[in-house]
Amino acid sequence: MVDYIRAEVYKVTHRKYLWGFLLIVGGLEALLVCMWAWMNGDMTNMSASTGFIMVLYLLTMGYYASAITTDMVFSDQYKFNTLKNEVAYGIPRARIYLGKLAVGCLVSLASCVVILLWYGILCRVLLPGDGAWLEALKCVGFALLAALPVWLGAQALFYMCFFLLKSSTAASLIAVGVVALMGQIIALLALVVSVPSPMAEELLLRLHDILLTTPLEGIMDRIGDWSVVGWAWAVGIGWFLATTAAGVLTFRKREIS
Amino acid sequence: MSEPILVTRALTKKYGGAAAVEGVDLYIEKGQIYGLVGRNGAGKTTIIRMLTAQTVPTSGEIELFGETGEKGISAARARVGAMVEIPSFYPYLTARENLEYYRRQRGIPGEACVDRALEQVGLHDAGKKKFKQFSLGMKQRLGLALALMNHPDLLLLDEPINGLDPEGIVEFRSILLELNRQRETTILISSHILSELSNIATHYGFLDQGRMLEQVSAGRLSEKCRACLQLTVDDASRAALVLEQRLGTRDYEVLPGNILRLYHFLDCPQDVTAALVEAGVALFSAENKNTTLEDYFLSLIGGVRHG
Repeated sequence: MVDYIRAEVYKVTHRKYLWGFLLIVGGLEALLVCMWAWMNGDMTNMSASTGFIMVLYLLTMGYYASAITTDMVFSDQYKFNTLKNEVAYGIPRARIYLGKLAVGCLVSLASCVVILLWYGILCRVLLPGDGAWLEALKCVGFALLAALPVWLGAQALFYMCFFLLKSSTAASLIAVGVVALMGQIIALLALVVSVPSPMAEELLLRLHDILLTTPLEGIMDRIGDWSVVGWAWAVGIGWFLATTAAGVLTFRKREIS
Repeated sequence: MSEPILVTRALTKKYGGAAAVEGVDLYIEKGQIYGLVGRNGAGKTTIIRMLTAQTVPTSGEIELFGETGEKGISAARARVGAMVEIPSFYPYLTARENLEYYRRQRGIPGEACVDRALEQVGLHDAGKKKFKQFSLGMKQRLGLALALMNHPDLLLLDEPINGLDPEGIVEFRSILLELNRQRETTILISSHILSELSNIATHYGFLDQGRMLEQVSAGRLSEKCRACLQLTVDDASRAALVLEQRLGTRDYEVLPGNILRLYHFLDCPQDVTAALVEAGVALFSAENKNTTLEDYFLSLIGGVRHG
């Protein structure tokens, strides 16, 4: 497994994709903070801590960034027919699946660290301090503790779709659909069935509770509430294990052409 | 008796109800170059895809280096080099980076094997070129480099010379022969270019419509294909008597349809026809035959089929 992970890391770091992605995100961050700094005093009044705490508004982006890092590691295996070079040499399919997933998670975590670090530096350097920097760090740290497991759960969902569907585009669309729309669909259904069947409504609300996006809903009002973190970890780990088990089992028998 | 390297028993692959491969028994011993012969769609690629774990057999058994269990076969595949259909690599990586990626993945020690493999297939100057810039011939060479990188004991090659220029074909053949002679590498090679196979194969398996028609050694096949005088008569047993008693030869075979193949008197067929006519045997035709591998294969599958 270590050899497999080393090889995947080698591949990802030799692609322009990773560096391009970091460069674009880093550039956008710089543009945003520069704009705040430039407009400070006239149109905005942004301090380093308020700038940094804006991260909380962007937590949902983590789900979609998972799609990008999955694509980065999976690298259109079906389009380029490269999986045959792996199975033909006796690399077990479970190792292929779990190895790529592990590297996807590693790349996501590393990218997350780089992006946040760069953003923090930009805020500290370009925006005026107001003495609340440590408090902002604590808030963002707490929110990340809750966001991390559900992001990784989303990553596992993306991997399952990428391994099971031949088209990476279709896989991305389906996984994004599950993440972005399922909560709204279930909430709508619960509303529809609430009058004729309160039991069905209750069931749908319980189902809504275990969706990947639910733990981060209203996270800004629940900073310091550790039950949110526990719930997020339970949901994240649940999705991670369930989608990975389903993906590995299905990929074992998949035709590789 | 030599060590069996690859054995399949009743190997079958069905898609829906249709069998792409049905009940194929392969038996390949160490050091053999086994040519898998068949037309397009005969099942050659499906067999190799099952051997390389790209597709799961519907039924039957594979024995690789004496291993039959799933785990054992999986481990034994580390001793295999494979090239199935058109070689596939990451287009945005260079040839060298692609091989280095697979070297790391398979835990092959020492980076030198990458350069050695590129050198071996004549791609040492193209190592820094991206795969997407490669011609088909270069892709085939890189596919072979990947297959050779781990010094395999068994090479599985599916239509490996497609896309190679004549010089490339000669080089390719000499690489395979060298590996076979120096390292006793066993090779299973599928092709429909029979003339090329006949240059290297020590054994043949003839496939048609997913079934194995015949497995034969190159020696036995050349015996079967050797030059002969083919006679069509009204009574094969009387003609055989004439050949033995009047012409004093037993070097012939009797085929169905009152056909005899005589391996003597190739320079003087008139002596044979005269003897037969004198003995009252009606002779319908007499022709010199020199059966090629293609002729033999076509006779096995019952001639050329269209459509």
